[in-house]
Amino acid sequence: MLSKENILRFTDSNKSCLFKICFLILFLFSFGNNTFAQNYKEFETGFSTIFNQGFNLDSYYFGNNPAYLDFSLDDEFLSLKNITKNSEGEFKKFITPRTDQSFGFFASGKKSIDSTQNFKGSFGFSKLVRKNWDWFFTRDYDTDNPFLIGDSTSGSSRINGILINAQYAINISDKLSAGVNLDYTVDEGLKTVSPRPTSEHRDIHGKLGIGYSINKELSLGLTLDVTDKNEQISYREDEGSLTQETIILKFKGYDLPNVLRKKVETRYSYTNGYASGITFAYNNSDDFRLAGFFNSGFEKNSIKDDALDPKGVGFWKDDYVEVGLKASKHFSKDIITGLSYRYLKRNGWAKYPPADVLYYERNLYSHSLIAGYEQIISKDISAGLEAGISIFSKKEDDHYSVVYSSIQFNQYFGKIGINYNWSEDVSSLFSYGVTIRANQKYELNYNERGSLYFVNARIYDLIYLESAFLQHSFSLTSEVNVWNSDKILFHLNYSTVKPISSDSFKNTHRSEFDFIIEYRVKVI
Amino acid sequence: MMNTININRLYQLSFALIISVLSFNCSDILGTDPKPEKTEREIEFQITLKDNSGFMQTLFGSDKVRNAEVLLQSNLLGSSYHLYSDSNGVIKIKGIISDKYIITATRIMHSGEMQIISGTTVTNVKLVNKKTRILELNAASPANIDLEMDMVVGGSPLIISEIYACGPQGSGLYYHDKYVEVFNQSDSVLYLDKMMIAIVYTNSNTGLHYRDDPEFIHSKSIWIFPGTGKDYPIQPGQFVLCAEDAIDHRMNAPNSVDLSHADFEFYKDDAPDIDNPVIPNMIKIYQTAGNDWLIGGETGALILSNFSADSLLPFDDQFLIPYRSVFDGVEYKADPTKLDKKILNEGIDAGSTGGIQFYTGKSMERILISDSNRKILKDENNSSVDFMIINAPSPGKYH
Repeated sequence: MLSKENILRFTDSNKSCLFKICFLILFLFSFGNNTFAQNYKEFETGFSTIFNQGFNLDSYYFGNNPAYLDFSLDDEFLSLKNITKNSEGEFKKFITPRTDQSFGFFASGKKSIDSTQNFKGSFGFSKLVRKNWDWFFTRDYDTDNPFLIGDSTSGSSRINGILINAQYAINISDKLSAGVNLDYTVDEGLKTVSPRPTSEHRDIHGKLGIGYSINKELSLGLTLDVTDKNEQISYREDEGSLTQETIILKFKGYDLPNVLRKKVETRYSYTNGYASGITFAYNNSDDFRLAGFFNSGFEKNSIKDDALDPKGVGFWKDDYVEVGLKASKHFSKDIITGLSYRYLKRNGWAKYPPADVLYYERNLYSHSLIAGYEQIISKDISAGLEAGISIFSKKEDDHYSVVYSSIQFNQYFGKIGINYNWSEDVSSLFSYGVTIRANQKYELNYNERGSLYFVNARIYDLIYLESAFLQHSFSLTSEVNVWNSDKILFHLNYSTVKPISSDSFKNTHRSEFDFIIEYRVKVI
Repeated sequence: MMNTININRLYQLSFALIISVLSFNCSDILGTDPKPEKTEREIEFQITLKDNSGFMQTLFGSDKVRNAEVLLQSNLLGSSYHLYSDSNGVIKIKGIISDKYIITATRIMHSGEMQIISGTTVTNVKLVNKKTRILELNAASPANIDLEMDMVVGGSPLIISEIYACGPQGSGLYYHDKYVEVFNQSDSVLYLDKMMIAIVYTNSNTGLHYRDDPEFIHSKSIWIFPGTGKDYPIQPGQFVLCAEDAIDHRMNAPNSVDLSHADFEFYKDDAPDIDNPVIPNMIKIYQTAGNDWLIGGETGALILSNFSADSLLPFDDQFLIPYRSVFDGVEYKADPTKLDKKILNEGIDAGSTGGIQFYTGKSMERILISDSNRKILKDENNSSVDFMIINAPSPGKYH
């Protein structure tokens, strides 16, 4: 019961909280001195072609070729960054947790070792919290790999880990450069409800890049990726719930999981991936930039169960090709345009190793085209519009569960933004975006005699994909120069998505909130 | 200058090579893990039943077993398929997953047929698949399989009808209420005197087991019923309850069972065991460890035999019981799908029941197939298909 006193206290508390937020914003906006603003470089803005995204248009930022890790002395910095993300709501796939939170804290920096060598690195902690997560306990649950493990309970899981990244590039000659990028991640997961399974992951990703300048305008590059991931999921006797029955579910497709009434199980998952690619960048002047990449590779995942006598229970392989092309053009000093195109094709299949038979096939492709226009209205104000279309197609043949689906949809989006320089030290970018998914074609065929595991639950994994929706998003990105040459950047994004005329997801929605704050110290 | 040109050419050649390589699929080039050619559920399997007894040859001029009833049960999913062989002794099935299937093929020989074969109207003769009880049906391997069938006369008159081993819910680690129940499946009075109940030996730490011993059960826990010959009759359709401790366990564990009315009690007189003086005690022949008769809570195997305790053969620290003396044997496992981890010979029990966790109060009971004049319980010598899991034990009766 809320008493008048409590209401007043509550109101006062709210006022106090509001005051603190206002103070913090004013504090951020008011400090600083005269330093050249880098305009959100290497920072999230929500835009991909305008608002200085063209500034990053080279084979390092678009193509991820580490050979092009190159920066001026002005760009050297050390930074502390905090990332908070929250996604929650019932408009989701069944396998998605109702609430998905992630927190990351990173310390990073980049520095030129000498005139030919550059280094960039980061060290971070991350925490993933998945609340109201039904059954599943596989970290990377949404890769279309059908071999998933879980148990009959629903609840929260958390995954804590550390992430280390190191990048190094060297200019071997005037024309030739080479670089390497290494990512190393380890984490541990725990489901906080009985039977309390645990997980351990170790991921390594390495990328080698070579860049060659044909002439002053055109450069070409090659990349080679190697990925190695290990996962171990352990179900052990939960001493706190000795007499509670554990029901382990091993999915091999959308339906017909192996239902095992046992307390102890260990799953090992080994993933290897290889990819190679070509990158290029063209820059004939400061007015026009073009970059592109072609990347092709595969990942294969082998799953074994049983700690004492591991036996193969699943094999998943995913071949992919991705192509990207991005251009930025300054028509005048006040008009900037950008164009981005991406193509992705993935063909995956799964087999049951003891039988060497095909269980599952998935073919998908997507085309994504984004065009942007930015007008510099005055010294302090610029406005931009970005619009795009994505064409998506996915076909799944789950031979094991006798579930077949195919879907095609178009997704349209538009986004407007205004960047305002409050002073030479403070700038903010406000934006609003809308995304509409419209269904083009959808087919779902499944065995009517399938189990309740599908009909009541996992059918929503497929229905979700075919559901048309409307999404609104609002974001604020700001950069504040403080003290001599340090700066604070922050990005707030809120979006909410609702299905359009969906019987299955009636009166549902899902909202996302992202907050990133970074403090950068210039390296002198 | 010359060097620069050469290097440039080298770069250009390298790019040309890489581009040509990228125009193919990476994994195709590496040649690893080809996509399987066979797709799940698309293959039609054909199983041909062949008679080793000569009956079919005599009756129909062919060794193919026609009109046989076949039950296929998927080991991983538990889904079962009921089929009949055609006039060529063939069953065909399509749309099933690749798995190990527990197969039970039965051809009842009718008295008219036996009259033609043997000149007498013998009943209770059937052809069964004694040798192959588990079939691996795999879409990637040959779809035509032969299954041999042999003659069997009658079935086991005495069978194990229920095993309760896991302990009750909600009473901590209470496990003294275990029991095994024996049932008279025949239509005549039998006697339990000197019948043997033994626990099949395995060492879970080392993985040692004697499943593949061609002749003997190995045991380190052997008990026999008391009596000298006809002291303890068991009526047709009667259940006989043999309790670890014949007391009302509900006094100690509210969710447990009343075993104070048990027919027999396992009392270990060299240990601080409970003895209900009203209930006849089973006689311990050999059990060196433990303070009581103790069967595994989640995993184990029991046999019922009429072998004479005086004839037991020693082997290492175990005793041997010949397969031919075994009336019935039942294996249960924490994960009954792991048939490769079985400890009891497939000739006695082709499968495994179980899947019950400690302290859940669940029990394993044989499936009832007829209850018209007297109860007939399923006995295909395959616990995977003969037993079901019941949520509460039913000592001395059918649930």
